[in-house]
Amino acid sequence: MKGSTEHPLLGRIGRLAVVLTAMLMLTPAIVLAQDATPAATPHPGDQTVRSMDPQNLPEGWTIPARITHVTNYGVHEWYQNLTKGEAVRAEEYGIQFEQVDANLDLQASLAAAEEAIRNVDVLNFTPVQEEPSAATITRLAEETGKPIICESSPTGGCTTLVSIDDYAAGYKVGVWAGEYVQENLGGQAVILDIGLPALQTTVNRSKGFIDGITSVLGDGARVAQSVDGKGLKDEAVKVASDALTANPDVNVIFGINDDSALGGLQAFEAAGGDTSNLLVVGFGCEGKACKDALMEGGPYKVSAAMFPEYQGRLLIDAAVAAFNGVELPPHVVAPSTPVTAENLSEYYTLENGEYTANFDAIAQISVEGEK
Amino acid sequence: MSAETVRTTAEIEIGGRRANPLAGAARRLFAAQEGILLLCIVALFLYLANRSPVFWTERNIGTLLTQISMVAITAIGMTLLIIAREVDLSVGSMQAFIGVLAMQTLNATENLFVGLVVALLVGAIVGLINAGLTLGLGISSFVVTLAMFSIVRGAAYTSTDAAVQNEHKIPAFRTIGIGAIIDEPVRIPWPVIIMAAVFIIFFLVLRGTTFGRYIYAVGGNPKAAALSGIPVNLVKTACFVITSMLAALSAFILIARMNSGQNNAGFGFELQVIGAVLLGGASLAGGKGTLIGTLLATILLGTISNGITLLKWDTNWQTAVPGIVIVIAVFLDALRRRVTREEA
Amino acid sequence: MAVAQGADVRLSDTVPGWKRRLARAARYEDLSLVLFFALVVGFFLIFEPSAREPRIYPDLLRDTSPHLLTGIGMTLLLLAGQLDLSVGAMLALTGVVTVDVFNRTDNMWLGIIAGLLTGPIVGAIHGYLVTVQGMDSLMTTLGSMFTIRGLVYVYTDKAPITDENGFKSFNKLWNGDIGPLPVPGVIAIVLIALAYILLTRTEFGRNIYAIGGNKQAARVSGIPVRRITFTLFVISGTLAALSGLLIASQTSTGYFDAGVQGFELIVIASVVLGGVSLAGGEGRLISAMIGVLILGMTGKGLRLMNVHTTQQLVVTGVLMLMAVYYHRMRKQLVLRSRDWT
Repeated sequence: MKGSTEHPLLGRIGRLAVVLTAMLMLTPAIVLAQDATPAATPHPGDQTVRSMDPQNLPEGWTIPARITHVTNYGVHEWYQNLTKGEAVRAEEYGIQFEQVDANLDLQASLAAAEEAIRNVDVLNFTPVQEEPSAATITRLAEETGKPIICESSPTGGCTTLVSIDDYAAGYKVGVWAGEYVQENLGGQAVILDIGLPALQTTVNRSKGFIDGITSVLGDGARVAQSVDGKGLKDEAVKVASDALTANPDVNVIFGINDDSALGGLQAFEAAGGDTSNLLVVGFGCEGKACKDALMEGGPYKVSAAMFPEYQGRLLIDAAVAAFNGVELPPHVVAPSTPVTAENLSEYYTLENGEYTANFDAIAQISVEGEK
Repeated sequence: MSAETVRTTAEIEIGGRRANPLAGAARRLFAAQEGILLLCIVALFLYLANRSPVFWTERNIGTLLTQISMVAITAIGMTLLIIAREVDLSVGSMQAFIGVLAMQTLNATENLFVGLVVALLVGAIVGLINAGLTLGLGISSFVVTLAMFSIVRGAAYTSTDAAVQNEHKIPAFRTIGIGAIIDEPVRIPWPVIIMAAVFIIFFLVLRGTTFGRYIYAVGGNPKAAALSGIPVNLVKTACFVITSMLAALSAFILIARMNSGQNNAGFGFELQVIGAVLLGGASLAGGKGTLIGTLLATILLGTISNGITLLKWDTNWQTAVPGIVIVIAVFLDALRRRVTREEA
Repeated sequence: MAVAQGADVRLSDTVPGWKRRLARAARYEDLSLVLFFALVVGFFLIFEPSAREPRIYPDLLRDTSPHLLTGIGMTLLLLAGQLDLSVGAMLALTGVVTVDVFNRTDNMWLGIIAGLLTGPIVGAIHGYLVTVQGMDSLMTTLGSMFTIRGLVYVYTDKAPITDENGFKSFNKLWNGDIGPLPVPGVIAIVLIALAYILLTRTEFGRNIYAIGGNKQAARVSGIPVRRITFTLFVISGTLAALSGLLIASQTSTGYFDAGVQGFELIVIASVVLGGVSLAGGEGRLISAMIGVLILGMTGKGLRLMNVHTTQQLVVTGVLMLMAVYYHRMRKQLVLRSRDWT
């Protein structure tokens, strides 16, 4: 369904005209923002989702009564913070929000989607695995005609996907790492990539990181080994310990999530390595562990932050927009940016040991060119 | 002189037929599951030492033994429990639950000893619950501990959002995770020495004490054991509690290695542990098994995992190779039993 | 106890009538499990309005059909004192083979046949290793569980294989309905009926119980222990492959991680909850199948109630304990009631 949709602009000359006018008026800004690559035309639906205000909705809009999010792994900190963000936003609209969790079981996830969609106005859905979920989601969308907003992975049948661009986020943090290695580690990066091959999103993170760091260092960047840490810290410590024995010259550890990266760091310390010449790069930074590690000033210098609280807000906004028939792009890109000890306070305020997300700053992060 | 004696014995064993002494030695080695495991390990070590320049280094052997220490320590308890004809599937969930609780206690008290005692106590309580439900209600321990596998994991998820970080910064705690007890002449990491100590203690218990004999008797034939006055339930309860407390000790080492208590730790740990015990020659039918077999099986499985990463094989083989090795080892064991006409 | 001995008549007089009637009812194991299932359903009907929608129940049959089918094979094996831990990995193998053959041959029937054939082949290997080589079934299938799953990982490189032809009629295997019943549910019911007849009306079935009860005695009394055990592994493998086919139909993909979340443990737990003994020789097929439905309904009901994973885990564990304890109480009541008459 998603694949067969043409670009909505093509069929809508009227709206195109409006956008063209707007573009003409904004020409100076666009020219300034443009890099070497031409900027993609902003999608009107995308703009709508990003600028919604529960207190001031467009004329004639109705608010969905019930939204349920079927998560794949609700006990993970990412989903805890994401659904917290959704619940807060839903309350601002006065929407009844609920979460059902599949605990990584594909069968349970599909059954939960089937059960939930009948009782809600919009279904938010995170697949356990994208391809095997597509058939069911497509069928449910066709049968019920209700919008399904997907999170994390592009799944057939979804009205739209709200998630970061994993490749781009990896690329950005890769560039940051490349520059760091250029300045502090003599321009030579020997990388241990602690990945999760079972998921396409995490594969893209690793790819993006490696391409990003290579774009800065060229031949100076070399992947010593890619291992499967299963996204779990205990697994990551285990496989990283062995991989570091095989590759004692590793000086950059990349993990597809913070547990993987922190596990790699533990393995490095256990092997008695010199952490002053080490750079650890994480991904997500949804939890306290990452933020504390960044602030500690150790080798854990940067993480590709994905801002789950903000993404939760976007998910609800996209659901409300879709419910009101706004045509949405296939992917509403959620912001992501490398966070470090220096800029963490821009995006998160620390009070009484708890970090609160600064939505205004996060909304400012450019997602241009990301998909 | 002694070499002569050995040769003579070997020849007698073969039953008068002429054979070289090597065959006799091989035959005796082949007469037990441990021998097969030892052969597999030696073959694997030779292969890896040949293929990877870092395999046979102090650093790698230290890492390898540290990695297996957690499975091995729990497997030692599990061996006793399986000999006594019971099983515990909840040890993996305990890695998460007890790890989180221990880290929270350490953060609250800043006292290593208190943290360890709390971990062991919680382990003992879980073991008592397992024993109580199994023996008190007369439900099979497979079902009881499968239910506890689920319940304890739920408890781990409840006890913290995701992970409890190290906020106490007790130096000795870090030492357990990444330090060594001695550095010269060889570096021996703390988990390895703990594993060795646990092994020796329970080896002696199983071999040299009445309790050890009772465990075999209870598992071999519970009715006969009860008739001959052995306190069957007490022996089984002790085995449950020992298993859980050793699982708690493993959890403590794990949080020291990770420097945090993770509520998603220990997935599939129970299968690694039980797989190692059964591969080591024990049987779920009870009455049979040795700690040496368990330790050898743990080393074999740990070395496979280590070797696959060292040789930079595709990580997808991490799942298949241990499976193939288990099938081969069980096949060789069946072959051995047929050759030696041993009862299954 | 001492008084009771030699005072049978007086004792039976002292037992109240309701208790006798209860004991008589308790003899029907299937009935007692239906009652347990009814209690679970009743609970959700009372406390969760969305459980009252009739649509839920055919869906339950559809959702649990892989467990039911695999559960038949597992029950037969357990009755004969054997076990198959590889059924979860089989779901992945069958799915991957099926869809891969779809894509290579563009022929749906070839894919289905190839997928289904994985079952008897793997089952025959297990049967051979266990019966001819004398290997322990638990360890053999534990090893093959990792081997099969691992080989699927290696073959697919952990990427799902999508059905490029999009065979709609293949999806009907999962989605279709026959009257009010879902197709996979009908398949499950038919196969349960066949297995029930096999188990209760044929010599083959009686022999399964005999083998599980006492292997040596069965062998001595001339029962072809090896041939029957071998056949059971082939049946179990085939039913697991059929379940894998259903999941491939549901997902239109060959998914490398199908069943990885402890499918084999859920199936074993379900049939044990249905009264099948892990020690062999004891249990009833219909009860085992109701056991599957009980766990399936619990999962569904808790999801409908939006109960969080954390509590779901705890509730499922406690329910499992309760069900098995209930069994034991029932058995004890039946045993004791023999003294009353």
